[in-house]
Amino acid sequence: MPNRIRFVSLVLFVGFLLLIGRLFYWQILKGKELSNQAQSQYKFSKLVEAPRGNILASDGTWLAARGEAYLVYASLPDIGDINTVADTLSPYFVEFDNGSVKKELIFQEASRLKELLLKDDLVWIALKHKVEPSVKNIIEDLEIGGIGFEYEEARAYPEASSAAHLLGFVGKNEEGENQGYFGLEGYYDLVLSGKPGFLSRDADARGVPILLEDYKKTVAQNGVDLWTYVDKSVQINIEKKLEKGIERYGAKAGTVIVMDPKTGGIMGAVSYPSYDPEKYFDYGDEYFINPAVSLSFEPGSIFKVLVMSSALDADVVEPDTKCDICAGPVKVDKYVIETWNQRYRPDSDVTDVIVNSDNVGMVFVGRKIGKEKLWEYLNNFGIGKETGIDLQGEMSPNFREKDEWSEVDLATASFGQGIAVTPIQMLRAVATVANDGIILKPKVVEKIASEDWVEDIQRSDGERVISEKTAKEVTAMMVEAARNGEAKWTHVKGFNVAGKTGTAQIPIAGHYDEEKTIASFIGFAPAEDPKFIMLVTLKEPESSPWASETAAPLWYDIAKDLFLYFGIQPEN
Amino acid sequence: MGKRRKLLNQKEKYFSRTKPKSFAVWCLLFVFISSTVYLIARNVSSGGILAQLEEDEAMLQKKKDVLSHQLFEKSSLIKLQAKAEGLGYTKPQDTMYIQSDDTVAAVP
Repeated sequence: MPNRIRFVSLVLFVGFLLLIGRLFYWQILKGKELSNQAQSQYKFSKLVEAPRGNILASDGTWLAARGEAYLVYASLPDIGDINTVADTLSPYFVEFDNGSVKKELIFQEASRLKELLLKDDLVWIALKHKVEPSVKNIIEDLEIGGIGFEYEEARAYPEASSAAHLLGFVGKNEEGENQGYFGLEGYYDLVLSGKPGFLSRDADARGVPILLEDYKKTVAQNGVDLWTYVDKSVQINIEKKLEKGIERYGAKAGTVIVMDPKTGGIMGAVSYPSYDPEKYFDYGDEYFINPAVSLSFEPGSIFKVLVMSSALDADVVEPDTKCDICAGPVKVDKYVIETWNQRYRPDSDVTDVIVNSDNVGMVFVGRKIGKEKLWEYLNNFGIGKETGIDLQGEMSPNFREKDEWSEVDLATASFGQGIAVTPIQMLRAVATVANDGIILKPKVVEKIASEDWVEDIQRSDGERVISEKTAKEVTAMMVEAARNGEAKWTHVKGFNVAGKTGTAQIPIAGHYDEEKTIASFIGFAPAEDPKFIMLVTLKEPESSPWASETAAPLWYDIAKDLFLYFGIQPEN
Repeated sequence: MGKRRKLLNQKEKYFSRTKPKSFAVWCLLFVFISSTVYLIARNVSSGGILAQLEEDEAMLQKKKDVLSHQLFEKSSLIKLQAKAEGLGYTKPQDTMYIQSDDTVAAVP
C-alpha cells in the first residue's frame, strides 16, 4: 500500500481511538454525574398546597377564612448596606396602634432586623412572617436589593376577636406546618387542613412541561368549609352585652351561651376574658382555654331544676307536694342547711321551693328521691360526662359514684353545691327540660361543605331523660320562678320566660368563701315553644353577690334583643 | 461472458421482484417517521399550552382570592355596625309592642 494511504489510515485510526476514549469518558465515567445535572435542570417537582377550609356562620358569611400573607425574606449575599435595609423595613413590620407608632418599637424592630442580616453563615433568612399584601406591595415598590417575598396562607377573622373561644386559632406545629388549636380549628383540624398534593414532571429550560416524559400528579384535597349554627347577630350582641355586664357588675369573668334547645345548635358563646385569634401569639396560654367547656363551677340554685325534674319524673313528689321540713333550718349530719335569706315558709309546696329557691325544701326533695335514683337521673342528664360538643378542649369534672355519696352530699347536691359542672353541661341538662325531656348533644357545626358537595353532620335523635309531662311541670315552675322569684324585678313583662337564678359560693382551700360567688341565670323562651335557651354566669361580681341583681338582669338585657330578633311576641 | 450475462439476468429478476416491496417499505417508514415527528412536535406544543393554562389558572385563582377577600371584608358585621354608627344610626332604646288591631300607617 502506498505510504500516504497508510499514514492517513493511521491518523484516522488514532482519531477514532481518541473519539472512543472521549466518548467513554463522558458517557461511562462522567455519565452519572452529567445525568444527575441534567435531571436537576429538567426535573420539576413541587408540593401542591391544600388551602385551609373556611369557618362560616349560619348565614354563610365568614367567621374565619383563608387570607393572603407574605413571608419577607433576605437573600444575604445580595443585601446592600445592612443598616439602611433594616432602617427602611422596620416601620413596615411594626403594628400600628390607633394610628400612632411608638418610636421605641421601630428602633427595636430595626435592631432585630440588623441582627438577622448580620448572620454570615446563612444565604437566606426569614425576616417577617404574615406580612399583609398591602405592606408587601409597598416594600416591593421600594425595590430593595436582596429582599424577596414568598406567599403564605394566613387566617383572617372578619369579626376580629368575636367568637375567639369558639373558633380557636391556627398556629404552627413542631414541623412548622399550620395546625389548628382549641375550638373548631383544633377539633376539625384534619378536615380543615385537607391534604397537599404533589406534582413531578420534566420541563425544558423555560419551564414548559415536556409531556412525553415522566408526569406524576397527585391532586391536592382542599380543606372543607364548616357551616356552623353560630348566628353572627346573636354572637356579636352577647359579646357586647357581656363586656358591659362585666364592667357594670365588677365581675372577674363571665360566660354567656345561647343554644337552640330543639337541635342543640350553639347560636352564640362568649367568655371573658378573651383574646384575638389573629394575634394569638400576643396572649398567654390561659386565655385560650374556653371556660364554657373546659372550666367547671359549682352551679348553685340553677341545679335545682335538674333535681326537681328527677324527683317529679320519679313520682316521689308532685308539684303540689307539701314540704314538711320547710318551717326552719334542717340539720344534716353535723351541718345546718338554711335558706339564702333566712326566710322559712312552712306551707311551701315544691313549686314554692323552686320559686323561692328554698335550700331546705330542696333537701326535702333530695331525701324523697334518694341518692341512688338522683345519681342515675343526674347521670342521664349528662352530669359527670363530656357533652361531646365539637370543640377541642372539653373536659368534665369528676362526678363521684353513687355509693360514695353521703347524706351531706345528697343534701348539698340538691341545691347545687358540692357538685361541679361545666357551663355547657349545665346548659345541655336544662335544655332537656326545654326540649320536652329529650337530651341532645350540643354542637357548633351544622354541616361541612366542599366545592361540589355538602354534608350534614350526623345528628343523633337524642334520648329521653324525663317524660314530657315532667318537662312541662318543671317548665311551669321555672316560669313561676322567673315571674315571682327573687329576680322578678328584672322580669320583662309579657314574655313567657322559664328561668332560674343561682348564686353559688366558691370553694377555696376546703371551705366556702364568705363573700365570693358565681352568679348565674339560666332560662329559655318562649316557655311553651322555646326558640333559645341561654346561660349567663358571672364570676365574683363585686356590685352584688346575688344572681338576682347581676346575672339575671344581664340575661334579660340580652333576651330583650333576642325576643325581637327571633320574633318572640309578648303574651296578651 | 455467458456466466456474467446469467448473473446480470438473475440480478435483474431479483430487483424486478423486490422493487415494489422495498418501495412500500420505504413509504411506510416515511409515514411512520413523519407521524412520529408530527406527534412529538404536537406534544411539545401541548406542553406550552399546558404551561399557559397553568399560568392563567394561577392568575384567575389570585383574582378569586382578591375578590373573596373583598367580599369577606364587606361581610363583616362589626365593621358594618361601626360604619352605621359613624353615619349616625343608633339602636332603638325601647321597643313598643302594639296589638294587631291597633291602627298603624298602611296603604289605603
